[in-house]
Amino acid sequence: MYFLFWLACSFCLGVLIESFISIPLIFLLLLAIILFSLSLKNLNNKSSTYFLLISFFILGAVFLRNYEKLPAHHLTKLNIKTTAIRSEGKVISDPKVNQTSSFIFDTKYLIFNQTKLKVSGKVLVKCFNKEDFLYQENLILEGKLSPVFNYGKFDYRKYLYQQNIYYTFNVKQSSQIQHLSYGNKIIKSIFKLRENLDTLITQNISYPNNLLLSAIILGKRQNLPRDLQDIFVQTGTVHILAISGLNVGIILFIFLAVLKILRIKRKARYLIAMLLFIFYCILTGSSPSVVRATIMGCVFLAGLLLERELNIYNSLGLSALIILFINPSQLFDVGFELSFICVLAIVYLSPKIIDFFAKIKLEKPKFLIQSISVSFAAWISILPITIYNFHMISPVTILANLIIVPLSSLITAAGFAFLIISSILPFSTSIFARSCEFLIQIMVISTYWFSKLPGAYFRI
Amino acid sequence: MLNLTPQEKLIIIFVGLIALCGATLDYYYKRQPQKTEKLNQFIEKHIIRKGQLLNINQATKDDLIKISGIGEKTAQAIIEYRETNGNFTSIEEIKNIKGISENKFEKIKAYLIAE
Repeated sequence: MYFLFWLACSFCLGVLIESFISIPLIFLLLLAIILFSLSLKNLNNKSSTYFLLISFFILGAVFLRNYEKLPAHHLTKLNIKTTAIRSEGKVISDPKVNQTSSFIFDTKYLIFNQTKLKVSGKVLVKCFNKEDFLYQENLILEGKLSPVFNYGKFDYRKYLYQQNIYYTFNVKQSSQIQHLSYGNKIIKSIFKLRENLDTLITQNISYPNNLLLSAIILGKRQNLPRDLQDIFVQTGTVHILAISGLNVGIILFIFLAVLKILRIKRKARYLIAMLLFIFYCILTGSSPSVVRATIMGCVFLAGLLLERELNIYNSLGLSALIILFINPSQLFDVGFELSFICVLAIVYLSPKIIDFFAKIKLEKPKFLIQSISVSFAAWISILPITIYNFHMISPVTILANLIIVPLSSLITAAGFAFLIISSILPFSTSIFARSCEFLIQIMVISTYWFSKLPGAYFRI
Repeated sequence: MLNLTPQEKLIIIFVGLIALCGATLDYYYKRQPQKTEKLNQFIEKHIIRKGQLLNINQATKDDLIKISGIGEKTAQAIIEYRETNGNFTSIEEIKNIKGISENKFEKIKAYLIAE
């Protein structure tokens, strides 16, 4: 029944075990080959299922091992003595542009006077001048390469190591930056569209509401004032500021509905929705949370397309497997853990809580009981993670989610309506902008009240 | 006459409600422009605390870090300076602290006050 789910679980377990102890590779390989061939022998047999599960466990271990092994021409292997280097490469994350800009840079070559040396490895570039960088742009940079330092409470080094980033690369002057040709024309035009939409939001909606709308719809979180983010952190509703499964769900509904209105056939509809999903993922800067949500959405759509009744556990399992195939160390990413555990808790735990309420003769109002159960299940399941990572307990989350989550869904939908309709009918811009603004104001102010309730949150 | 599916109806109802809400607000804002800013003023005053000055003689480390331009180290240095040298008499005095250059001072002075 839940076959893919259990496969994903054993894969995760393999990754987890491998991260603590490293088992000799040759032993793992032999065992895996034996198990795979044993499961081939009796495909109908129940024991072959168990063999398959164990082989996925080993697959997880080997995948993590391979991911952590760096190639021979990786930066860390070069023993770079002069820290001032010139390097050619590509911008591979959505650049944060503030007083200082920063982005992840995939180095391809080191450039000495006349020669080019092929290298690989990701570095975190910090540029101390105001300079425009574009996602997926090819650059030549000159600057200082240095190992990652930790500052503050947050374990920055571990966070970057998980993404295979071992160096920061500081660029002091604009003269040290050379823009090369732009890699991909399609991606460039998508990013132009993003800038246009962002201007539309900034011009029509007042500060600071415009920043929240860009965060919720376009994934532009970097300019949000800290105080504003703080109230969302304190009430445990900060997840709505990142584009997550919830937003993507609403967006999927919008896409499918619009495509249905256009009288497009059912199967073509799912296919187009999938393409739109990928388009939206690039538009929002393909941050890990959006990529995760996009993969989940595509798995769901693929299930509909192939008319395979994928239950939610299997869809989750398949999504997790795809994500971990690409990058096994995502398993240790807080965002990954939070989103998968949350969904599992909502699917598995919340019906049990509803049953519990039914036992003590609390069934009405049905809608409220359901919402509270979902909110409570999500909160309790991620409690250990929030305590461990954020040193905070916020009981107010259960209450706050009941108001903030529906509001943010409403804002997502209204924001989309605003962007689409005002691109088509410019004269209606102010009307739709007003309602978006009003909804956001309500959300911010109610979040503020929640954070001010007595006993709303404790720091540990 | 109208052959709409439930989904289409839902979208039309939603867009209609949003438009109605927006038009009403727009009308209201045009009639009483001074009241339009009330919600934003509340947000700016209580949440973003824009334009509110921080007293460096009483501010805690967490308060100081919230100012853009002051990090954990600088905040710690300000507190340590205050503990060893007593209260600041003017905000210019924080320039004595290591790590606060003339440049940085220009950036952060708008948020600070010494009382």
